[in-house]
Amino acid sequence: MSTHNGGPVRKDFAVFDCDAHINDPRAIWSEYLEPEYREAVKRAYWQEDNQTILNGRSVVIGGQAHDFSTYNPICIAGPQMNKKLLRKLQQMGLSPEQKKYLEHQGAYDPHARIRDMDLMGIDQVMIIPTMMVAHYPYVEDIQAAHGFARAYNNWASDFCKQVPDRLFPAGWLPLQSPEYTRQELQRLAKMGFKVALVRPIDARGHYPNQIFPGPRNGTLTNTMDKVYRAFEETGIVCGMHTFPALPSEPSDLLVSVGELITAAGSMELGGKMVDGQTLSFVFEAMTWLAQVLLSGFLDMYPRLKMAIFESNAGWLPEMLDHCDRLFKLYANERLIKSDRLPSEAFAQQCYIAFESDEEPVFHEWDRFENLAVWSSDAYHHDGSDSWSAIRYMKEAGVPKAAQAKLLGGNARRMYGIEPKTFVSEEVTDMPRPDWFPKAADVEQWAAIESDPRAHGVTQSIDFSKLDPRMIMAAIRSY
Amino acid sequence: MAKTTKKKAPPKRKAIKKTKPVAARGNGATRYAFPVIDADSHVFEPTTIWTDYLDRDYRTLARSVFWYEEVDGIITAILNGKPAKLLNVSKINRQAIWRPGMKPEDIGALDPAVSHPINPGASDPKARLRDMDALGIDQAVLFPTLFGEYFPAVENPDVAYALARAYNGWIWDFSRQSPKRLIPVAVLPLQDVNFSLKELRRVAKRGFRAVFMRPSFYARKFGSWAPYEASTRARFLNHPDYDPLWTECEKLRITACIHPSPGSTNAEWTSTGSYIERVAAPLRTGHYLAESVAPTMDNAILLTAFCFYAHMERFPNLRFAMHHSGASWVTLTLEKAETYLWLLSNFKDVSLEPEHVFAKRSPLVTFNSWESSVARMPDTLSNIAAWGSRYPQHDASGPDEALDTLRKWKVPDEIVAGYMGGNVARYFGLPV
Repeated sequence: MSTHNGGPVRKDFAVFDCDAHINDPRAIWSEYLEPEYREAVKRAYWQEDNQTILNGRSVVIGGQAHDFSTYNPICIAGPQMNKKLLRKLQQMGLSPEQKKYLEHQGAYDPHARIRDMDLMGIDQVMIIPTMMVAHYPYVEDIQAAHGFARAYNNWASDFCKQVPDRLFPAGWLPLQSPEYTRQELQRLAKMGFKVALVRPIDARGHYPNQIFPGPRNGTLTNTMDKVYRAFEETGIVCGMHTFPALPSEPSDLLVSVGELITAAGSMELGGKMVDGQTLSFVFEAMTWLAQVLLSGFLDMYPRLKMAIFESNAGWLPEMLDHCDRLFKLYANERLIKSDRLPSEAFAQQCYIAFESDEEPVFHEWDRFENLAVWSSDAYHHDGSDSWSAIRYMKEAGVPKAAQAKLLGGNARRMYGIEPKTFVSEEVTDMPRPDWFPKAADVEQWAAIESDPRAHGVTQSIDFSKLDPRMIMAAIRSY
Repeated sequence: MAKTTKKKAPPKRKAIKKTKPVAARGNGATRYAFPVIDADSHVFEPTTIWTDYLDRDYRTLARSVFWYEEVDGIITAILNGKPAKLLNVSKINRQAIWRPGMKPEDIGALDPAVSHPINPGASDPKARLRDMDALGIDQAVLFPTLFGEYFPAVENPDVAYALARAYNGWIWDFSRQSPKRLIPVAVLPLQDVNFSLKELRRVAKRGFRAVFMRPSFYARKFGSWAPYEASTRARFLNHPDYDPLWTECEKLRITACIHPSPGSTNAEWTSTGSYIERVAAPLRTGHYLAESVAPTMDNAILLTAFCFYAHMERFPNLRFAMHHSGASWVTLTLEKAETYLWLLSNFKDVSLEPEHVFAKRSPLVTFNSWESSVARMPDTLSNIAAWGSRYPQHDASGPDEALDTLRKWKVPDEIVAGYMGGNVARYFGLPV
């Protein structure tokens, strides 16, 4: 998140944002769904005016349809927003007009997006959906999954065609069926998509590692093996995109390992929640990568290109080093033949996304120089701009050539996209309405807010005595 | 008139005479210009814990609650009256196979269909001291293995209490072989807070400096791990029920050693490892793989929960250390907690800058020999990171490997000395 100490930042390289979001717009359902899939999708994943229904029975937060009690956290972190300001805004009791002002329209409108990108120092971007990542893996109906994936991909393609040298779409896959996924990957390749997304969770008992046939994994010729081979054949990057672990439907077994973070919290008397958003992304990525690196998976798919999105990157060096050791230790027990160390296989086939404030990545920039790709995560509430990333990198002594690779060069190499620079200098003065908190006031307020016990606040919220609606507002499950 | 009871002072620890680094005094090994203290060393529990150390009244009952033995390479493991999942897929006991000088390739070349003898130093203190001499390790903090992986899953709290007493009796005697060099860590029956408090007071009185706490979920209603039902849900260590335990650790100046276990054999909803093994099964890797990431995740959950529960603020004098998960995840975990605490505006009584609170508290975090991140971030880790060998587990290493990593990145000598022993000595109150 940008601060302006030291004056505006300048850059002379093109920034590629490999992971920024739209807020699943109503048009996917209303305009892009093909008629033959409409009834099936209605029963599987359907967005109405004020709610979204999963599998015909579970009401979930489903993108544009949802009205939040405060600002919309999916569309909030645009230009010059930061976590202190967001906390202040949450406590203001926003009017409908103020909420509307804070909902960045670039989450729905490509031209509004470009205006924000200019302010955030982003030349090119890969756009990724939001609540679909959470709920769609739970869709049971295979035909509906297929129809909805087609609709999303057609919408995303049209969205990006509005500004084709700056906006790039990430594809969505009907992983409920390996065969439909293969077909969709081939269609996406023809449409010019560079990446398609997979979330590594166990929704419906189908963790995406089921490449071997089995009672739950698929028949001899119809397992996830077909999917990874299609990725190889099309050259589309397999983008593993994680999400906060909030089960869309009840399950006796964990769907995402991140659920254990939330389970550590307690809404009982004296207890509090522990926000699963903190590390759920990281845990889903670690769980996936441990399997990929230790099993020889990448040797089975040597042409596969894989990217790990929205999961931070600071944890990677230790994990690679540990996996290298374990790889040697289990040489005689590993079933799939593999000659490459996990760190070598990763370097040859994988990329990992990092965020603007990841100081551990900048301290070890030489380890990440050729494999890390920057992401803004805009407009999600923890999103940021490239200016702050450049500031952190400068402070950590990351050479300029490495900054250029980390902030754009690596992503473009992964996707085979030509660099184009549209913005070179940070704009520090942005007009705001009168009610908008002033930066100096926010800083003063934040100094007290950040250290409550030093200012005599020692009472935790007693959730058991609150209006349940307030509890739900506090949980803010997105 | 109520009787006034005289408040008991916390037990005094016996002063240990200041000594030179033990290994520097000879025993045939070269050694280092500073004391080397291994902050993450393990034992492999022998059956004598059950046969000799367990209270007689519990010997029959405990055999069906938690029992582990290996005879001629054949393992019997019982947990809660049922056969327990074994620690390894092959016949190699990877929890006790490593010996000084062994490289990962040596262990990788072993025949997995054949049972191999474990390192005697895993359960025999004389053999352990010989290995420490060979490695140049002056002192070692000793953690359990079976009591790390299986014991938290014991359902009967009374038997868990008896088993904790037995383990603590055995590890105490083990360490008496060289009290200056072998630092025992006691286990607590966290299944029950009252029993844990009693055992904590008992071991503190006996002279233990530290207790082992695994960051996992502990069942309150036995047989149920249901996460969303308040009446049955399992408790993590940040649960308010455990507050008296933290208070007592503070009071007794006992270090709470947060030490995860892979969890590969455990039930769903207990820790991250069981999920990893379940979802990974279709990939047919051929061996367990939770050990690669689960310990980091389990410790990270607890540190996150500590941030959200203002734990470090509410127990400002508590000494806690996080072991066996590397150290490089700490910065990211604190940063993520900070971000979401700011974004969660309803939380009013918690510091929104957990990095600052953590830095002020400076808890200990152990790191692995191969962990270059520790060498690259001395500005944030110099006072808190402590080297751990993982002896005698298969991924163990000696101090030389750690020093190679640190020297490669030109870490200043005084920071190296802190990493390799100074920090843990200060934290555990050991003489340097």
